[in-house]
Amino acid sequence: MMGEEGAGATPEPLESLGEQFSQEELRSSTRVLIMLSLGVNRRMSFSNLLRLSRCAKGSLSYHLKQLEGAGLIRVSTVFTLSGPRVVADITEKGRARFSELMDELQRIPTDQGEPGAVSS
Amino acid sequence: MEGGSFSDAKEEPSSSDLRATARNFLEFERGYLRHRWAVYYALWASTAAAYFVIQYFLDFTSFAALPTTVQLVTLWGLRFATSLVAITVSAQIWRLAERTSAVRAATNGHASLVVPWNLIRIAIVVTGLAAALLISLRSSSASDIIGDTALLVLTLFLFLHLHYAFRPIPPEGWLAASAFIAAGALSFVFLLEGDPRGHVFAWTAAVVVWFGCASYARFGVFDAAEDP
Repeated sequence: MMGEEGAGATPEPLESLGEQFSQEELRSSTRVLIMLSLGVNRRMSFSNLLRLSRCAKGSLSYHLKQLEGAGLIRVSTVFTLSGPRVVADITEKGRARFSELMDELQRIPTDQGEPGAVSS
Repeated sequence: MEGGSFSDAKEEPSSSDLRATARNFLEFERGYLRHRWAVYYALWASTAAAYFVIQYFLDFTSFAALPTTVQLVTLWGLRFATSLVAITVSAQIWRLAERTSAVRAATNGHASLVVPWNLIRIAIVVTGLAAALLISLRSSSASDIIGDTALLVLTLFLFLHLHYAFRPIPPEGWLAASAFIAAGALSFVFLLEGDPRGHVFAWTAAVVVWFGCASYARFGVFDAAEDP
């Protein structure tokens, strides 16, 4: 379940993680948070993304535009019984980036000094 | 979260930033997942009601005066429709639990959930064929036993998914799973003793508990904000 790397290692910046975040679209903890959430949930409403990120509306719109500009998510308005809603969906490119984020997360030693468990 | 540690500043991101972000996400996701799980409880409560409860109460109405074939087609149509919706939505929720479990595993070093999808597909086909055979033989108590067994197996999956997705399982999850196990076990006993009323009573209680769990998970846990 656990990899062979990292037992007892000190958490520090990883080279591959640095490559991930050298891309402008993920140079923000808020955008990483949004990507993690959309990677898991596939679709989130604007209101739930506000709750998740605890951003102001304008700030969240800015982050969503950055991610949409990079082709990682798609923002649209859908019509529901309770009225129109703004939703964000993850794209194929976004799913690939989410998988890379998960790989990075697994490589980081946990508090116990071991890498995260390998997922299914 | 606003202005997080590696927000637009050109600083080198650290691994602990990513882990902290993932933990923030998991904290939010716990409430969000409980909210989504409400649908799961409500759908399986409806399915259990369609299989074990509705027929008993319909016998006291003019429905009982209809030809047997019409009654059978109506009841099994309802059972088939609720099962189909419940299985389809459950598959989505199970996949959601699987993905959440993967993030939790990568973040905290826990083992992650690996769902045996092929086994589930085989179980659904075998249960469906057995149910079809029993319907054709018009053996209602045997089909109840198959339904009981299928729902008990489902409860085991429920426990697995709740455990891996939430860590720890939320109170309504414990209550829902315990109610299904108790109802399944009691109804087996009542069926073997030839007491259909006890069987109906056990499942009615479980259905009420599951709808209660659904309401609590939907309205009492996660206060979803309105869209601006």
